[in-house]
Amino acid sequence: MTWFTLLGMACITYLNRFIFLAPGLSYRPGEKITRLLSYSSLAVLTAIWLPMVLQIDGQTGLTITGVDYLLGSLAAGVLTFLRLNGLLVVVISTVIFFSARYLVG
Amino acid sequence: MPPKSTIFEAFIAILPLSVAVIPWGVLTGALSIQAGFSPLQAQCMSLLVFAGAAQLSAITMVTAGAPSGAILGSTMIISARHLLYSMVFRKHAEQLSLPKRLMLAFVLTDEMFVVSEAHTKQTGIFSVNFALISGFSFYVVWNVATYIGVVFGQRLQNLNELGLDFAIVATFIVMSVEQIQSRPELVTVLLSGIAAVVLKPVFSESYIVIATLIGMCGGYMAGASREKNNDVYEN
Repeated sequence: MTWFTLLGMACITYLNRFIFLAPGLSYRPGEKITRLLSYSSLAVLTAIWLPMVLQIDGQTGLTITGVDYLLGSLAAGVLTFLRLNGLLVVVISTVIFFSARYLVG
Repeated sequence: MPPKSTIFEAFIAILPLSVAVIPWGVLTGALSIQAGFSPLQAQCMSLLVFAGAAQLSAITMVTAGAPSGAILGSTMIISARHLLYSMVFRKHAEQLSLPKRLMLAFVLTDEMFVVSEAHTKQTGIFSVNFALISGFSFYVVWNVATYIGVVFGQRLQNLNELGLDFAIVATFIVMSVEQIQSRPELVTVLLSGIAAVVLKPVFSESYIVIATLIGMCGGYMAGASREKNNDVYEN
């Protein structure tokens, strides 16, 4: 790893994060773009967590990461749907996850 | 100085994600040393780049002997989704001073973005203090974890098999299911989720941004068609 590559990486990631926050930029997202962007956090959340639980495998088709991940996720989904407090849901589903992990091995 | 309640709230909101990122930080530190980085370089990468997926991919590429241009290109592709986050934050940042904008961009990660957006939706107003505190507390954890990896790398091999990443799954499920209120949100979740699972084997690192864009377009179209139907009923 050279310092040049390292600093180059730092510049690229920082520019991607800063560019639309730059005060000089005159661009203002219109109503349609704003509506489109309102779905971004929901979309990125799902795009990150679902592949951590489900995968597509060339040979076996759809597979789960493990029974522990499946049970923990189901618990988290159902409890949130029932409007339980978010932090409580994380704690309960994590307990279910580690119990399943310990019992199944 | 922001109120103590905001500091506490922001710290707690991102805590599960901070815990979950520890194994990845340690792994990043350990693998950097194995790839031939000096300890200073390994730590500086976490201090300056602060992007887990891009760092791990760069380390793998260095190990494989890839040229600098290829590493920078892959950094660009992997971190492209941050363009989207900064676009979303643009509206929130209109009244902010330059130093606050610079700091906000510095700690704009997946984790800080989703935690801050959830807070904005819940309270109806964007809090720059909440965003900065959650972002910087995550930054500190990431760098301490990297340091542990740099120092104890060889002795902490199986840390990423402990299942700590389930904290990400649980937190993200809570935050996404909470947001589902009508059909457009449901369409967004289904499309981005299915697209991510299907595209992950094809696009090793850029599947997240592609699946996100597919989900956003789906939600937008479902919302637009619903409005059109409402117009018809009203007439």
